[in-house]
Amino acid sequence: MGTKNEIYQVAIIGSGPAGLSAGAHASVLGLRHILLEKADHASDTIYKFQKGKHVMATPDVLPLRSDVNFNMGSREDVLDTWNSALDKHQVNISYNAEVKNVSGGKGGFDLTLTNGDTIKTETIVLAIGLQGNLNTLRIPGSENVTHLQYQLDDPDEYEHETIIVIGAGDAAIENALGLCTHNTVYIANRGTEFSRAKEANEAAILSEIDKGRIIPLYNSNSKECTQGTLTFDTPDGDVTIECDRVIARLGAAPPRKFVEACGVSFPSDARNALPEVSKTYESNVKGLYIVGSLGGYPLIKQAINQGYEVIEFINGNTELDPADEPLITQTLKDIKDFDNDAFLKEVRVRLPIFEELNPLMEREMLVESTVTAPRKGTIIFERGDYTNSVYTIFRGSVKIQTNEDDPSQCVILEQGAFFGEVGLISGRRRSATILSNADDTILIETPRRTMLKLREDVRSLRDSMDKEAIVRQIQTYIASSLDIKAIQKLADSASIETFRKGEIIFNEGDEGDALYLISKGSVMVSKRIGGKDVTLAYVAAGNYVGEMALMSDLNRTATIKSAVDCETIKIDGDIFRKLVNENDSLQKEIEEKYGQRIVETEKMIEQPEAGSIVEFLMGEGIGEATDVLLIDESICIGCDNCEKACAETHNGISRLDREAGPTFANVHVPTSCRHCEHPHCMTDCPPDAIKRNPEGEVYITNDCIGCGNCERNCPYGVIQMAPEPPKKPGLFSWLLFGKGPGPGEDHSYKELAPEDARKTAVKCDMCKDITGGASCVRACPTGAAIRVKPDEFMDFIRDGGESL
Amino acid sequence: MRSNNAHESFLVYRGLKFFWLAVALVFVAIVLYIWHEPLGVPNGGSWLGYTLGVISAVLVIWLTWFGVRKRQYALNETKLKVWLSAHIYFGLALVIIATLHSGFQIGWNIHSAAYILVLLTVASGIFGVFVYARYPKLMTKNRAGLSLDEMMGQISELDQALLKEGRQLPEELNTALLKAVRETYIGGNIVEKLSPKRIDCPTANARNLIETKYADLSSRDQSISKAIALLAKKQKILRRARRDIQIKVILRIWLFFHVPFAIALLGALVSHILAVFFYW
Ligand SMILES: Cc1cc2nc3c(=O)[nH]c(=O)nc-3n(C[C@H](O)[C@H](O)[C@H](O)COP(=O)(O)OP(=O)(O)OC[C@H]3O[C@@H](n4cnc5c(N)ncnc54)[C@H](O)[C@@H]3O)c2cc1C
Ligand code: HEM
Ligand code: SF4
Ligand code: SF4
Ligand code: SF4
Repeated sequence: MGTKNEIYQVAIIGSGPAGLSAGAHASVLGLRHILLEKADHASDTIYKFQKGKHVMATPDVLPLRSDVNFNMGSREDVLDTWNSALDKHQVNISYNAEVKNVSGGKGGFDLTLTNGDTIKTETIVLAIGLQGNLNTLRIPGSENVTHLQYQLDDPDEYEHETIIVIGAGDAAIENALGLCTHNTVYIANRGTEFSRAKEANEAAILSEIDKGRIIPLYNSNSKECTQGTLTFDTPDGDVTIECDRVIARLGAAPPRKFVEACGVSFPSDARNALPEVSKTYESNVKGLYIVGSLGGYPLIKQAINQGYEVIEFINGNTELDPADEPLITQTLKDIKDFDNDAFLKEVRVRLPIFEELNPLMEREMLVESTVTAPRKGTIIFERGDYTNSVYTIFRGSVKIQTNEDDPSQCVILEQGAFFGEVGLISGRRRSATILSNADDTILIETPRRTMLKLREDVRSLRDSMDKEAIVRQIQTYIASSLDIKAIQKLADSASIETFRKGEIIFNEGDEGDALYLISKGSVMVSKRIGGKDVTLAYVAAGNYVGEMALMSDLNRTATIKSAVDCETIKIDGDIFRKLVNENDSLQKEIEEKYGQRIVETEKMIEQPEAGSIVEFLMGEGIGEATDVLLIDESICIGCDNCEKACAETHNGISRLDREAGPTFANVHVPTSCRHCEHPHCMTDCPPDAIKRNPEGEVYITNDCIGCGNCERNCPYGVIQMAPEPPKKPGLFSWLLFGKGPGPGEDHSYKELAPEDARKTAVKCDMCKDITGGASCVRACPTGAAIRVKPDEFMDFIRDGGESL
Repeated sequence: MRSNNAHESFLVYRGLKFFWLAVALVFVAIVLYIWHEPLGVPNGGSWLGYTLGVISAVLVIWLTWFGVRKRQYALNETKLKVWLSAHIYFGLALVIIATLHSGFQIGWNIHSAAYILVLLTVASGIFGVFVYARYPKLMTKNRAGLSLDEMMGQISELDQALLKEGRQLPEELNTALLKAVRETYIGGNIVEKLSPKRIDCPTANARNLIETKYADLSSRDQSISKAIALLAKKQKILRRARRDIQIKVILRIWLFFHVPFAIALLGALVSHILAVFFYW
């Protein structure tokens, strides 16, 4: 560890890919350095990957720049390579060295470790990743027993044991579920519910508890433990349970607190906000650099490159070309009149929403974006498409056709403006067709994930986008006939209000003081009839509610409740009423809608059972679906031909589970992707491998690295991590000679697959590559399986009232 | 309405389109047959006989091809439901066309074997349609929103309660309850699956035993009543679960007749044609 009083030039905290690459380069450059790792081995995050996991080296185009090598391969190979690099370059690494406090400033930082040691250093490289610290059980005895653990790598390792799993989150539930087939499993919950977990997990654990395969301990707080026992404090007094193993899944404390304690500031309070860094990875604390996933780069290769670069910067080389230069060149390949630097410079000059991006964010934004130069008349996107990216106009202009039936009605947007943000916010189809309006137009198309991240991190971008979006949504969905001044007036009176799933927006009988335009999510309309709440309708994003009370002098005639998490634009009632009175065509439009709603309401009142079906479907989260598979159980013969068809047309793996899933009346919702408006599965995909087609299909590309985040994030449990199934003999070999397992998913292959087989995420892609549409629906011999889109729900339920 | 079309059942597909097509085919065949008859004794040898024979043979091959088409999942020209609709109505038409083809001359020979197999296949097919039309609704009703898994869950919960109750009861009853918990099964062999009443159910036995032993209501103490209530509840769920399995089996079992008949028919058809051409 060097002499006690040595002052290091650089201390690197964390030996993940970023940290160890930094360590190696510091050593190669001969810097006085130390690499501090809290675990007793290097690169704890990768170390904790599942045994044999295939580690991917995306993005392919990004060249690797480091003294540490990294190629796609098994977890073991990758770790071996890194460990030998640490040896080879004689990196000064300290294990079991968790940094708990940082003080001082550039040139004289003091680090304190949990073991009490202190370290002096001139600069710090913070490379602690995002995994955070696992919370531990702090009760008498917990330090001294050996049957207590905080992680579970492989549930199949244990058999015939009595195991207590502590926790009510997804990790605890998944562990309990994994263990319960071969062990006696208790799950200890401080409360009485598992509602914090994903719906699929909650349902699964409750069902296992129902079946008696997992024993719940509700309202139980762990109190003390001795070897082989654990005691809980419960409402019925202390309960001591003898057990072979305790697995405490208490979650992890995100590293944010520690990072903030180092003096580093975060741009927002959002859960996933990351600290801001300069072009040289320096944070607001001078001399403290941040690299790797904590700096906002979610992949290993990027982390490794940054480890190298940050040492170059610290060593005084500020001229280093960023490694992503080839990626920028790639993005700008169609742009002739700007070189990379000029373009980068101009972006911030020409595009106000990107003005406040720091150089690093700007590069990342461009790497992820597509830059095109569409000639005049080229269609950028069409009304009804589902692509939710945002475009900015770098040069030239575009034409927006605001009226479907009359292409001559249009609005021109000039250089500096952006468009497409409404689709991003609502997750719905594009509301207008947009064409290039000049031959020299240059557009930057930024994908959803990047834009959402920028929205979190850059306040000004978020504000100007939201403001513009309000105006445009009012224009598109309420008052296309109004002039822009009047719209502006409405917009000025408007505010954004959000509602959680199930929250009431207004109650029947309330006074009507506002109009709500739903910009994200959907709502349910209900009315009290004969003492019972009857659901009358489902209203999707892009529509408004609350006009009835404003147009008449009545109070609210129905209750509006959000069906999923919603965002609404609340428009002041008086201002709206006044505008309507002044404007004939608007009045006519609103009255028409009003009349139409009254008719629909009457229809639904006659069919209360249809209302219950709406209620059921919304409860199942279908309010956020764009396309959902339903089965009419009254004609489903249970032949599973739908599943077989799916497997046969999708590489041997069925993406739907017909029998699973809830049923109400005769409507069954099988476990299969709903192609959510805001796909939860997309949230944390490191290589951004989950995409959405213009037609709305959410699908996973070959870039998947198999991390399993999407499987965890999908609340409907429709993604599975699966190895590639073996090839099967053809249909006729099976029909005539009985060769192979026959059509459909061969359920034995997963068990037979080698342990280190590469697993990737698979889910329904709505058969986007198959002409003729969904195979599952086509293969249903009786017509029981159907796919429904939200705009068809109501028709479908109303008209199908009898048979469905 | 688009959404309505989307889940129209196979029987009424497009306003019975294939039904009417099949009726038209049969109608033409009958008219020709009646018009043709005066010319001589009708049989397969006349030109009309040949024509009807060829139509029948093509129909049989096409009907059997359904088994292949059902599994050609990548083919996208039509939905399977459309094929099934056509399969049913042309299958029915086949009976009449084949009958006309035979000229009502049925005897005990290879030719009639084919004819009888047509009747058997069609009969099993009709039974299948009956089953498909009737049982899914019954199954939904019987399940009442529960899945078989959930029913099993409820049963194991009741079992726990029964075990607990049993400890308070006399030895004989406790043994019966233990048996009810350990030896009760659903499913079983194929006969039991199809006719669950045949199952000698330990749960039912236990209930009978207690109820006869304590026939006098006043002799029942709390734990006896509770045991009876639990057993009754379990029996109710057992009935549902067994019924569920029964329906699942019924929905499938007829195909074990339909398909072999169809294959046999194909064989008989080939023999019939060979016999006609070589040994007539
Ligand atoms: C399941 C899973 C699969 C993945 N698969 C892939 C893949 O196939 N390909 C890919 O490119 N990316 C993958 N990723 C992403 C990849 O893991 C991260 O991008 C990468 O680990 C980030 O590296 P890092 O160096 O920034 O941080 P980390 O790898 O998280 O390293 C941080 C290190 O810092 C240590 N540390 C933390 N706090 C302290 C402290 N206070 N003091 C001292 N040490 C500390 C930790 O113990 C750890 O060793 C995957 C992620 C997950 C979760
Ligand atoms: C001689 C005439 C017929 C032949 C050769 C024939 C043949 C077949 C074959 C080979 C199958 C495929 C079974 C499978 O692979 O799963 C099938 C299925 C079926 N047939 Fe027929 N069939 C005939 C007539 C009929 C008739 C008249 C009816 C109805 C009235 C009928 C109803 C059905 C039904 C309902 C199915 C099941 C479809 C499914 O579950 O996927 N068939 N038939
Ligand atoms: S996989 Fe994604 S799009 Fe599909 S249901 Fe889950 S979260 Fe929604
Ligand atoms: S698709 Fe899923 S498993 Fe694959 S990389 Fe993305 S989040 Fe991870
Ligand atoms: S739509 Fe296609 S991919 Fe999706 S479940 Fe049906 S068959 Fe499978």
